[in-house]
Amino acid sequence: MTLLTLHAVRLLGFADTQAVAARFSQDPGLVESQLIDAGVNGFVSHSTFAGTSGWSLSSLGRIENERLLADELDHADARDAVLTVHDNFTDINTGVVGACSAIQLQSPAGEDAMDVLIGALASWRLLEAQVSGLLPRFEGYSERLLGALKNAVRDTAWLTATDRDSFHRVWFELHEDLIATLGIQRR
Amino acid sequence: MMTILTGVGASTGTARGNARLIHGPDEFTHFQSGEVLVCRTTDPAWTPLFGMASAVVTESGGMLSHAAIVAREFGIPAVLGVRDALNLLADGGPLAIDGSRGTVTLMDTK
Repeated sequence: MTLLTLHAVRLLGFADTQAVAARFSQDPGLVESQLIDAGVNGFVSHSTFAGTSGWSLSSLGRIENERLLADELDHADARDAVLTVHDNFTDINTGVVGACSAIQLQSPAGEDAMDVLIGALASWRLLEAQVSGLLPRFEGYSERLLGALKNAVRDTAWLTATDRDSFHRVWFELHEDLIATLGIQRR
Repeated sequence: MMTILTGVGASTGTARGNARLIHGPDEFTHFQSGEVLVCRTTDPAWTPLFGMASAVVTESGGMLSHAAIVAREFGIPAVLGVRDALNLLADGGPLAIDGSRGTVTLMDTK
């Protein structure tokens, strides 16, 4: 499906073919073919950037991605449900970014930050069950968040680092997924 | 004339560099290492730019935004919520960023 390939590029930002295919467990050969076609249509471009080579979504590709997501949402009759999930996520997100900031700034609030993140995961698990019932591609965020928290017990970099599947990196991707799905502009 | 814009100092430290105005992913390849990233907002696609930037200036966001968290991870100063930054800053113009005070100092204006 072109939707999953374009959306994987959107969520990953800048990634090679293998990573794009792995995001939704697609066949790498098929994904490469879809990416080449998407490139011909001006939806993605392949470049060497920041020391690595990969695919990124163009502005035109972002529009096409959101058109396909809107079709998906309408087909699943899921718009109201995803809006509700997004509203609940927004409330939880305030705590998550506050906790991540407290950890980085080593503020007194950082002592309770882990509890906030554990609570956020518990809340998101329930929301993920709701949204995945309508849009199965949302499955997996809870497991990735849990993995980050487990790893953070021995290395707190797993809470906020950008070079691994840290709690904040996964949460940031999840936030992007929700607003992309709903066609909302980031504020 | 020296002009100072203000926003939220979301990631501490100071840096100097030329402004690079980036309006979207289509312009990512214009960005050069050591430049100051100036944009409206960011999403996960923008993270590689943080690894190249000397500092970040955005029109939206604040102390608890994703951009602030990512900037802190890269250890670069960030001044967020600078109103109309994309119009007030000249592409390529020299800037001095103070992520502690939340100031963007420029020598040239449009």
